[in-house]
Amino acid sequence: MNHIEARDLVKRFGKVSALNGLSLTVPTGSVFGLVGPNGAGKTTTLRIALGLLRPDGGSIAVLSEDPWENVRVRMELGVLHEKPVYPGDMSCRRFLRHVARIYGVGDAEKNMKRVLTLVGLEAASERRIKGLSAGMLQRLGIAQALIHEPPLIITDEPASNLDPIGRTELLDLVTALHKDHGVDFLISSHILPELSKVCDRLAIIDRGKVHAEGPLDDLLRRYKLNVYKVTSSDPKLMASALLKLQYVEQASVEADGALIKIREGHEKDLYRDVGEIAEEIEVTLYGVEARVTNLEELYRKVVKERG
Amino acid sequence: MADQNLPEMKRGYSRLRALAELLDIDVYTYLRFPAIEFLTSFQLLASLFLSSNALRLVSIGEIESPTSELNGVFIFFVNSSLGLPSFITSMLILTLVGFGVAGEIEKKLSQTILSYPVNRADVYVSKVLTAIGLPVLMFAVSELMAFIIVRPDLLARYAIPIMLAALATLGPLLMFSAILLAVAVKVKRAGISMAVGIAVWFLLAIVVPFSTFLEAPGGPGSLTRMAWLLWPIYPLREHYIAELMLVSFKEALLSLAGHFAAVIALFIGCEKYFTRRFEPT
Repeated sequence: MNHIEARDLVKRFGKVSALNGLSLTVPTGSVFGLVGPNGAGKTTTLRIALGLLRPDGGSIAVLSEDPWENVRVRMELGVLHEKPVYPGDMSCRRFLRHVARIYGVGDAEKNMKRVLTLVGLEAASERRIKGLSAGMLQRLGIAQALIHEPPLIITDEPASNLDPIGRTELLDLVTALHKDHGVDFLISSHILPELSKVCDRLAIIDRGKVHAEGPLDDLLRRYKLNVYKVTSSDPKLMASALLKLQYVEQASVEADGALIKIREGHEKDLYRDVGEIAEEIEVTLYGVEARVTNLEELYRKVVKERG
Repeated sequence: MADQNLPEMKRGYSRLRALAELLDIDVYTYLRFPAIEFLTSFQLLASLFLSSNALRLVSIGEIESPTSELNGVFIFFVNSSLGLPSFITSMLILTLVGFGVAGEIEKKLSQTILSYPVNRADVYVSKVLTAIGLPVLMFAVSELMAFIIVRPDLLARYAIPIMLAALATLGPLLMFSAILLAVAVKVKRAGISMAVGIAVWFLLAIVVPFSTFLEAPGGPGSLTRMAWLLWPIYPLREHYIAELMLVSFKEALLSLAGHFAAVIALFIGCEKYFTRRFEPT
């Protein structure tokens, strides 16, 4: 079952075409990243999925329903908009109580307390929303998105207004919610490193079209970024040994492995040679995997190849 | 969610409850002390002042007759409709719709609200009741209060003319509100909505005097009669005030009915646009 299935979506704002036949499938059980530059059509796609915009062409099904026609689709979604806006004069608690009641959450007070604790906003629960910092506002946004325990949360540029610490905390929270509570995410962002930390599936979007879509590892293999992480008992020794191979262009050491970039077409050679080298230098080999070191590189490659 | 440690959630979504929450949010957001309390008091005082100068006059006048009493009633309603009470209510509606509703759309609060499982028609109803319904209700109540305090006997004696005149004073406020709401929803900008609202209010205010001025030598002509569709208190006054009696009851009633038909059409048109085509910024 998929959370979202979009087919050939078209959306125009006057003379500007925001979406030009965008097709996308967001499966259940994933943290799905929608990546693209400003103006690529990410926000428009999300707003169509939320039933805020009506597409000019194509179709979209969110949990098998048309989000424009069926209000109840939004019962199953949590939403965190870019630069979220909430009633400024209200306290966090009062606002969350309203949201809980709109969703028909049983025992609103208890659930409100639960989400405030979960996002670390309990101490500020009586503060007026207009007095919150950007990070706290983002946490309130997550709290209101979580209060009805949705299976999918849609977020638009969730970390764009945050400082590096706030960004890290937010991404950790997303990871924890997915792993510990089973919440799936659809995250749009143009800040690529943050997506590489949390997403397991990705769609690269540009000029209103999806140019590539799939599991992150598949995309890396498909677009031959040729960056691999070799984990072993002695990463430093392994890195220096691998650098001697003719097709290895770069090698660096990370905490738990050696990161290498190889020339195109030598993937099989690497898998063959790495075992032999490990034996040679008497190092225990734990694994070899394609690795995102630079999502920008993947993005550039996809967009360049497709058009 | 998959986690079994999380508390069990009882889903009890109800459209009515969602509407009640929307109303609560809107009342809390739009109507804050001291603006509403101050304006209400001012409006009530103004109405009472007017009533004491129209209703009381007829009670202490030299000749207390049905004709002079009806004159007093219509002087009250015309003053109420064109004077300070109506102006205050219009400005309150201008603020709540032009600044409140359009500002909410502009600041993207509407986007947040529409992202919840709320029916668009309910969001519209909530805005209409809060930003328009409450000020108009306050206006109506203050008019009624004026009668109850100063000349309660007139309410029973002239029930039908008073009821029609009261409707005729509420109608233009509702028409102004509907136009303003349509502009706010369409342009999605508080500043532009306020500017257009002020222009609309000014045009509505001058339309009858201007048409009367153009047709002055020959009495009310077709232009004035068309303008009466915007201000139905005029044909009612023309009908009920004895010295004038230029308009038949049927024509006065048709003007009032035509006016309310236009008001209802405006509100329904705005609702259709909001539910079927409106896309928040």
